[in-house]
Amino acid sequence: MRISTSQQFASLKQQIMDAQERVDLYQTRMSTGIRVSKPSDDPFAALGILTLSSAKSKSDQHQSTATAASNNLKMAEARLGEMTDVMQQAKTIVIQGANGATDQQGRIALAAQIDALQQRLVQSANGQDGSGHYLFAGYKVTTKPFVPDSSVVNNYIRYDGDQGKQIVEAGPGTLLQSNMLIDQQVTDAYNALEDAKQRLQAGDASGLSGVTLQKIDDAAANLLNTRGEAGVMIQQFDDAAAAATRRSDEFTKQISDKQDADLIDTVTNLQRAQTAYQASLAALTVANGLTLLDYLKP
Amino acid sequence: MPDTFMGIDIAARALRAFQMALNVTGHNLANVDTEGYSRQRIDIQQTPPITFFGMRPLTLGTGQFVNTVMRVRDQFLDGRYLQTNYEGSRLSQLSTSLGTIEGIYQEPGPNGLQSSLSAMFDAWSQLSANPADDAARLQVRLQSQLFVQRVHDINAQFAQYGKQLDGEVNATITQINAIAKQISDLNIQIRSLSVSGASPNDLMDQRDLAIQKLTDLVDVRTVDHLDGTKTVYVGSHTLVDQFGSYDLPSQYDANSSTVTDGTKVIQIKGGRLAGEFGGIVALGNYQTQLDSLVNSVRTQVNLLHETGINLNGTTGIDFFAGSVGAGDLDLSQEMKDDIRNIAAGTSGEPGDGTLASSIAGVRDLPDPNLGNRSVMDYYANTISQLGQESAYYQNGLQTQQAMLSQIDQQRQSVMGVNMDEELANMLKYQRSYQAAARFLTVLDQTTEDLISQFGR
Repeated sequence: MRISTSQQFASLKQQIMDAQERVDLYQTRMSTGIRVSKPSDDPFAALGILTLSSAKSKSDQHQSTATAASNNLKMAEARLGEMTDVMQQAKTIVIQGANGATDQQGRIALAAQIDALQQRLVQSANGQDGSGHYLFAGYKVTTKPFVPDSSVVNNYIRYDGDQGKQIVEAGPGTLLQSNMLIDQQVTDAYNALEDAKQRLQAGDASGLSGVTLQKIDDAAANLLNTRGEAGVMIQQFDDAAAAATRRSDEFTKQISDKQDADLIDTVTNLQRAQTAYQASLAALTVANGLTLLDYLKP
Repeated sequence: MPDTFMGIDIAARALRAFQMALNVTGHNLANVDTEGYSRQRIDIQQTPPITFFGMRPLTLGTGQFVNTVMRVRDQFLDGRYLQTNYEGSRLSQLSTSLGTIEGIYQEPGPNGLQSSLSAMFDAWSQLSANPADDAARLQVRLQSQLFVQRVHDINAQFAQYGKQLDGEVNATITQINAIAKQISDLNIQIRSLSVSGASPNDLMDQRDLAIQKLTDLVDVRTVDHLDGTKTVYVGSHTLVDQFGSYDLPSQYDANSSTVTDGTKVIQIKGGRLAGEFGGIVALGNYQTQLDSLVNSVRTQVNLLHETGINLNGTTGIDFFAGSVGAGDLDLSQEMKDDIRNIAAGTSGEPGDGTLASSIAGVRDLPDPNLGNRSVMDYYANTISQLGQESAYYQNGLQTQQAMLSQIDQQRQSVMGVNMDEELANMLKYQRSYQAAARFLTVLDQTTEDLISQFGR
């Protein structure tokens, strides 16, 4: 084929520019480590990256929600433990009060101890989280839920909370309750203590060893059970947090697979592009060196 | 018998012809890198012989004369080049437009809409787990504001790019009309020279280069005339004929890729102009998708939020303000005024996060207005579609450029100047001139012999 001189130079120039562009492309990939920096780099991968990023963001949120719920429940569990302790101590006092060896003066002193235990029970039942919100108030987290009140029919304590269950999403489609509603347990325990206090003051030894002890045992057992439930819930949230972390890591890896440049590939390609660039530069010099002008007589 | 001085005539014509051939070679060498230049060839032909009737009839050659200087060019390759050029130019403009839209979206990355949407819904989720926390409420408002800001950012850049494309369309049409005028002027000069029998090669080169430049801008069709002029059509519109140029009207409709003067509608299929129309259509498409996405988020969040009771005990309050598309998206005044106006639950109690949880779930809810896709899926799909469209035009452009370069190589192979060839020709013509001069000297000597030796 006949070659036009300007075309020859134009195409050499174009080859150099193309080679430069490729070197630049792989250099950018090397330095940023990113292969898909805009959707058109790989539309299919871009779709995956967006979907995965969205899923990862949600997993991270699940992880943080589950961890926070678990921490809150651990506080609730500790309060429930305190309440169980209170009932154990009350049981000891009641047994002592039911003992024939204890005189009435002694029973009055024991009644005062029960009174102190009642206050501790209420204090634990009105436990707050780190931001000052009540742990056992349902949705009414800013209202002190348990208030001793002898005007309530059949009870000596009033519940000012509600039955609101806090449901949180701890995984895809995993809805878990993150608060504990213990108004019944606390009321029973408080009433049992009230019963003990009154019988101690009245010197009703047989009542103490019969009805009262039963009430205290029942209330203590219920609190212990509830504490056990808290443990199960904590475990569920811990599992959910671990699962969310695993998912998030997996998503991170998949995003990286789709988005990041393969280092070995990139280095090889960069090397190849540089070689081609050198060759195109050399071609220009060689082509420029050959012309009939050099052989014409001056 | 031949005339005594016939040989001198032959020598004189030969000297003139080779001198002219050297000039043509020089012209070619001078234009080795001139854009649109086609190499010229001198056409030297034999002069008619003279027959002498003596004892036997005798026919003698009389040398040569310069018939014409012509340009070497392949009309077929020219036609293919023009066609490939306007298609390539259209794809190049489309690829630029789609690339710009990609740049506006900034996906995939931390500055994209996807991450601000995610962050906003994550904040709702956070609030659902900590409904009584002021920090969680602040976070919902902050992330929602960032989302609104990002939407406005994209929306404003779309509007600005739309304005830019409109300006470019007008500039392109102005440029088309300016080149049309130039072609028409060249046509008139070419005709006035060619009627006298001349071949205005260089004017034709300039005219053809102008047509080539015109195909950067718009698809054209040309028809050649015997007087060397060309008629140029854009679709059904005669842009240039032998008598003048006729402006392409500037009123346009990008959706149908047409321009019109109100009565005549001209279809534009190629060149930068068609690419700009395509860019406007693509921009409109992505604007519509952004509006749909924003409307879906706003409507779904508001519908839920209205059912909630906030910490101030009020209900029926919208979270987002605005009603049409991305342009008027904002947080409602109540949200800007007080974070306690955010309703996290339906009971009005501080620990109720049920509604926040529902709002966080909006991201995964299929919306009939989005073709039963969730907002996240819809958006991911938009970006994927944008990527595919952009990649499609980039690939098309590469193919077209490769074709164009191949055709141009073939074309240049015919019309381009090869320096070595011209230098070889130069040597040839130099030697030929020397030979003719030597011949003249010999004739001169024989004539001198005749004059000075005879009759002494």
